[in-house]
Amino acid sequence: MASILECRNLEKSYDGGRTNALKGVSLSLGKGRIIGLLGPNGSGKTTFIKLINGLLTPEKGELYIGGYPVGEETKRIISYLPEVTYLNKSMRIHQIIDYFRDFYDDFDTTRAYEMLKRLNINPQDRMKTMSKGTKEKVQLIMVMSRNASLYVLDEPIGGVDPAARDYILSTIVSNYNPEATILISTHLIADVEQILDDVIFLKNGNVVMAAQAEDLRKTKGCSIDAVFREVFRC
Amino acid sequence: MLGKLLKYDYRSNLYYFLLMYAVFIGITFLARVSISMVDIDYPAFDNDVLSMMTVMGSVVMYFIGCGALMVLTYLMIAMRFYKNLMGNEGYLSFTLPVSYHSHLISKIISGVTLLIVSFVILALSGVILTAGTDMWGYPMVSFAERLFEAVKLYNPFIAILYVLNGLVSVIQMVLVIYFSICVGQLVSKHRVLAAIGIYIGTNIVLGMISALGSTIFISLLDGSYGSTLYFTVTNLASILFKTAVAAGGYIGSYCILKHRLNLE
Repeated sequence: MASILECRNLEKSYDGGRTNALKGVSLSLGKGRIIGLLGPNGSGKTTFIKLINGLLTPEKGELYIGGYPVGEETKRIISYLPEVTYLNKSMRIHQIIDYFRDFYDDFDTTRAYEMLKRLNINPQDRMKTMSKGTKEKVQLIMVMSRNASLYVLDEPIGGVDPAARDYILSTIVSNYNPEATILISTHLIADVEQILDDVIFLKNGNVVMAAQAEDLRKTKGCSIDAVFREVFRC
Repeated sequence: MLGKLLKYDYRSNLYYFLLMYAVFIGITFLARVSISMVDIDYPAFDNDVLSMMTVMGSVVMYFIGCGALMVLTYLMIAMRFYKNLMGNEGYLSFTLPVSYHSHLISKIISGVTLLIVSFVILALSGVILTAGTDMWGYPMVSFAERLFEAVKLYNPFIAILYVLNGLVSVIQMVLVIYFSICVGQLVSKHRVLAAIGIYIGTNIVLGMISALGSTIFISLLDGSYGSTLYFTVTNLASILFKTAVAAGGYIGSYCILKHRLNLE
């Protein structure tokens, strides 16, 4: 299977080396897959995602996306949804759409407005007047309105109510190019497991398991959520 | 991409800067009106003490406004850089398909433009305050006359050197701010405090080097004060020094963004 992301012996620490967030992670993500990056808080999920997006620099190891080292080329093909609200709070939604259209050649403006309409979000609204959940929906719409090769979603359903989760997951599945890869980081396994093709379990900065979701269910005879609870039992 | 970055940079600052300039020009007009009232012997100011207090109050308010204008300009340039690149907005800025050079250059151009506009507004306020008044008009006209004389006496080259020196100074000021913020983000805690400390420290060191350099140059040029040679050499030395500082700030900031970016 052709891969969109390859990394070898990736290491990252914080506090001058006192906290090891990633300890030699090696992975290969296939094209056209929906992959769950699963692990408890502090397992290194967000660190790994930030390294993919060039927001942190690794101490050791190699990381290639679409054959390129992290840089301008990789940012052109990655659509990233961070945990935080990264949009300028004083901007209106239609201005944010213009911003994305200006910078990303693969941004689909029509798709963005359609999704806003379906979620009853007014394009004239300012970010600062919205609830946390609506802000997250707007960010997800921006991210999923791109025709990227790799979507990296950090806790996309963490801040929204359960009723909106199904809609968001169906938005993710229905609005991406089947040739593209989606990497979803979450600890809400039960909510996302039905859409996952592959799973990667991270624990204390190490990959403890990487497998196809269906194979794992068959081998273990239980759901991914149950496997997760088993692996990460306190 | 640079043009697009600049467009959004200017847009994000526009409202706050226009508001600040409007308030400052308003303060200037108030000061001017109070000075004019004294000039035309306005009946309400028959009492000399009251007139003096009003004028003094307006002038003090004006000078506080001048200080606030420049401090706020600095602060807003620094805050824009910090918020847009090192804060939450950095998660978007640094995932745009844009080079680190473009990010830095756009911030330098917008910062330099805003500083120059603030200087122009400051000069404009001086004109508003003094033009046509007996009390303040003479120094302004006299300054313009002296500047004109200087250009006539020496040569336009000196005037160009002064303008170039001013421009390089502004670029250097902006780059020292950006460099300090970039270095500040290398520490894991209290990044803003670290950036402020680095900014103060850098300026102290630069001030000391500058003072030492000036002393050496003045002693070397002893006896030629006021000559074309004197103005040429001191300006060129100043331009070279500031260019070196600006280049150091740029390279340092670029290397940190490219190799040590740390949006924890």
